[in-house]
Amino acid sequence: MQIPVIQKPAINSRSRDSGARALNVQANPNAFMAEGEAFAQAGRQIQQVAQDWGQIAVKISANKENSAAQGALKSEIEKARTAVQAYDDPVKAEAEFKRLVAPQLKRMTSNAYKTADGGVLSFLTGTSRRAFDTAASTLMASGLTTVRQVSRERQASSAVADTLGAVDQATKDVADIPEGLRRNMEIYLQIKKPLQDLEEIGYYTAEQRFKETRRHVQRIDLLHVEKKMTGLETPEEARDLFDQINKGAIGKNLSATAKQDLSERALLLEGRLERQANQDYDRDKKINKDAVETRQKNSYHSMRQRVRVGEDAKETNPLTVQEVDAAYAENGIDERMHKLLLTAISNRGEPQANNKAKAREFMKQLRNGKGREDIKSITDNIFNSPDLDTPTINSLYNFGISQIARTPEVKREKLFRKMLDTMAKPNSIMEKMLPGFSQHGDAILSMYDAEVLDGEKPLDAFQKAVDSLSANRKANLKSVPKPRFALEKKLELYTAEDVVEVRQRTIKGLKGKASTLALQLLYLETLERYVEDMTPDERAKQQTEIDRLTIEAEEVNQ
Amino acid sequence: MPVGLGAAAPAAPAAASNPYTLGAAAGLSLVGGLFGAAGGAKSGSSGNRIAEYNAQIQERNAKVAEQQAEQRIFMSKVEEGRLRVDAFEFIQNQQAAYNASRVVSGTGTALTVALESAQRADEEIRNTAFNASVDASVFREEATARRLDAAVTRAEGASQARASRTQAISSLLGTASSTAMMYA
Repeated sequence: MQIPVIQKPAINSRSRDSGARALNVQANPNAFMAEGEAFAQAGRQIQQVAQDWGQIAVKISANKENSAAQGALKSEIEKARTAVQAYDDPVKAEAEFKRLVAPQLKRMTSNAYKTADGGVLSFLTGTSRRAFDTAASTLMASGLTTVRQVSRERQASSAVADTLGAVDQATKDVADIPEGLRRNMEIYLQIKKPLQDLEEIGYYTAEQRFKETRRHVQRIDLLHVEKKMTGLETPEEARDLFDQINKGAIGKNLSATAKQDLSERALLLEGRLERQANQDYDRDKKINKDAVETRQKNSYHSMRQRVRVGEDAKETNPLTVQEVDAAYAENGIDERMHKLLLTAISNRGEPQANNKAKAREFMKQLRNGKGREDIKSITDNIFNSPDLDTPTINSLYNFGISQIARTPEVKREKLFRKMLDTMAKPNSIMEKMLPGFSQHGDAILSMYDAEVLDGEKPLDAFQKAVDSLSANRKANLKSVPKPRFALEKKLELYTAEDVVEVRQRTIKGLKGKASTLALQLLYLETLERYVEDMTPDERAKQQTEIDRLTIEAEEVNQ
Repeated sequence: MPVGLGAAAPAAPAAASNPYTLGAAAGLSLVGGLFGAAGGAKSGSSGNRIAEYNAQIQERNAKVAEQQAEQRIFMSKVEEGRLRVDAFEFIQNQQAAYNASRVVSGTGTALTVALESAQRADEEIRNTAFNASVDASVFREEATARRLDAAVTRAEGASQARASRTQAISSLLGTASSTAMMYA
């Protein structure tokens, strides 16, 4: 019998190696972190770009702000430097410079500085402010250095200028001292020694110092001679000075050129004094003639009063023939008065004829008299009338004098004279226009009087007086008002022909207005003086300007 | 207030665009910094997740090793049973052979041989059980090692995540600092 058993394969189908196995899979974290890393890298890249951009923006901003602030500071420094440039004390100049600039600098760094266009300086970043602080420090140091240097130079130049001024003044002072030991001592102490000092500090070289010393010594002699020349009054004195210069009696240190020049000037002065003397003589003669005539008339009337006639023949102090002759001999009365008085004395006690009709006729003539000469002629006729008694003659004569004063001619004479008198005073406008004019006020009036007595018309006499005394004076055009009848151009562009034209227009336009006319003529005289005294350069400049304006006008017309 | 009259002072409008430009640059810098920080944080987070994943695989492998150890024990039991059956059959067959040879199998030499065979079979079974327990121990050690690996991997991931966060914060601070420095 077969016994059933469990088959082996059923048992063998089990194995110890059956079941799960270990996994060797391991995820690499780097691969999975890469996305985040890339993200972070992108962020860092963006940040880096932004930082670079920001740095550029900061740099641009800093440059702009710094540049603006530096410009403003430079401007303030320049203003302060200009303000203190006149200081000749470096310490004071520096202090003042700092006092002016420091507040402005503080305003700039505290964003409170307003610019000219209304903006306010400000610093966006600290970089700008620090950059400006550095630059400001440098600029301030540079500004202070400049201020100090300028001030020192000014200090030195002031001292040098003071010394040179003192030397110049000493030159003038020493020129008053006569030649001799004292003058030599003064020259050494006040001129040579200071110039030596200037050489020692390096301002002059030895050669320059020598030339300067020689120049001042020569100038002393020159001034000495010129002062002598100024004091000369007669042609003879001028001739004597000429001789002294040429003989070497004075001005021993003068250069040959200066000596020659002074000799010529002495000769010219001699001629001028000669002419002046002649002119003075003529003027005095004219003025004296008028005075003599007046005095003679007064004497005549006084003496004629003492010859009583008719019922009043018993005068207490009768006029005698001897008195009349003596007055005639002393030129107290003229020949005609002498005869009239002698006739009156011989007719003493006789009734005096008095032609009333003739007196009325004279009175009528005097009323209608035209001008000074006409009335003067009538009064002469009155004096020569034997058929008029003395009271009538006196009455007519006095009326004639009052009529002369009423004539337009005499009125104009007085007005012109008053105008000249006013203008010849110091501080008058004429003095400003023609410097030195007032110093000759008396001469101007005398000359005017002489011209009037000579029979010149008041306007011409006035013009001549002004002409003669404005000669050799440099006109100051800036003080000349625009003439009433001026041309349409600037005063500095006037030519001599223009002045003549304006003068004619003025005389025509102001006829009968003596005072205004006189004033306008004075202005024109100054203008004419300016035009005539122009230097070649000024004349060329004027011509250029006229040409330019002409071209401009032509272009406008086209 | 005194007014300076600086001729060289620039026009205000020209400088007015700069604040906006600089502001835009600063803003972009901040955005970039935020991107960088976010990226770093994301990277750390990813690393952490991957570490977790790897740790889970290690844990699974540890379980597999444990299972293999149990499998080896189980299989040694099965082998033991099989060896016992085989030894019983062998001894039976031996007794049968003795019987066939007219040798009483339960006595004398036959018995001794049977006992000897049974003793050897027992020894074989004990050896098999011992070997199985040794193998299971090896697998259990492996499982322990795998678990430790998983723990280390997790710790590494967490550490890396923390490092990334710290780096992101540091990056943000750096961004803020460098942006502020633009105005400094």
